[in-house]
Amino acid sequence: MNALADGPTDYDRLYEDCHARILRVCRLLLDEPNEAEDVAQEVFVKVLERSATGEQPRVWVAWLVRVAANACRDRRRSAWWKWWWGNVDEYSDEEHSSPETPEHRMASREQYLAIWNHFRALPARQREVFILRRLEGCSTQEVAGALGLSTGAVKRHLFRAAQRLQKAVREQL
Amino acid sequence: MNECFSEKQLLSHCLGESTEAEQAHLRTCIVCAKRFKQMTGRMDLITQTLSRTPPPPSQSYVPVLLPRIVTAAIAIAVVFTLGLWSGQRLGTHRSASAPANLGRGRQRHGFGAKRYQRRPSNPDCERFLALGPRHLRGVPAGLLRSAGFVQPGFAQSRMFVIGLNQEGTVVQGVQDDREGPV
Repeated sequence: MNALADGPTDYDRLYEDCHARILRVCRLLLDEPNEAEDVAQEVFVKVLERSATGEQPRVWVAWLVRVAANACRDRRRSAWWKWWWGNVDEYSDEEHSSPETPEHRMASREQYLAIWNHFRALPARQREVFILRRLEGCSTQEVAGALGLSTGAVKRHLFRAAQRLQKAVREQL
Repeated sequence: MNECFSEKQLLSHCLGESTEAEQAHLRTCIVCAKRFKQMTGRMDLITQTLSRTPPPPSQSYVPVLLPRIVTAAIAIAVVFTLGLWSGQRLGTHRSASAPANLGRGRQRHGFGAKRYQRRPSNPDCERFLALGPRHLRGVPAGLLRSAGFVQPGFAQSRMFVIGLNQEGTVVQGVQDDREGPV
């Protein structure tokens, strides 16, 4: 995909095509919806800045994913004080005790929590690789290019992440 | 391939990393095919849960408890500091209610006004002037003890001196090196 190949006027189309995807990646990487929206917005500001310089990446989606992953990593690093002061909502039992959506019905509450908790406990790299490779459907080469890793490293991170998540689900069954 | 897959081999196959021989084994081995189907189901469950369900609020107890611990520590420190401060204020208040003749002595000699620590144990002391410790210099300890109400250990205290001056009068005072001798 090269949405801006014809110039900055394609920005709207790129935004429509990719914003939801980038936002989903940011949400998965950050766990915080408001932060994720901020980062996704920053990513598309960078698109404008990039297109203004005349330098355009060969594949915009890969570039966006890479910028989003790096921005989320930066945001996580700078959020240590938020962690310290713990602006964290308490877990609401009612919120998850009666799942109503089809997605909630897919997994039991314990499985749902186990998957998310184990996913959050994954190292940042494993989480990034798993998101891009399994959830976003990127190829190994694309993930390697986006994250600046070798294909072997991508496979290794993916295997370890999948192993831990599989173990989490198996323990709940 | 004759042997059944290990969990790692099965997971590699599930992630799309398998050889032709492994794929052939999977087609012929019912046990491995069943395990593979279960693993694929679990992987689909993980993928769908992560991609379609909202993340639950964080359950980490450390971020929740840490600010409370810090707040409690700050509160304890504030209470402790206030306690110390009020204790000092109380001591100053007591010194202000010291005997009047001692107050005169302080004014006269400019000494011991704020450093007075305790009331004399003997009522007779109230009529004695507060004088500097230098006035006690040279007075034998035995003579101090002979004054009757003088506490021997206390007579040599740095902060609180009680004894006889050079004129033979029993005096009581607080040593204050900053102001020097009277």
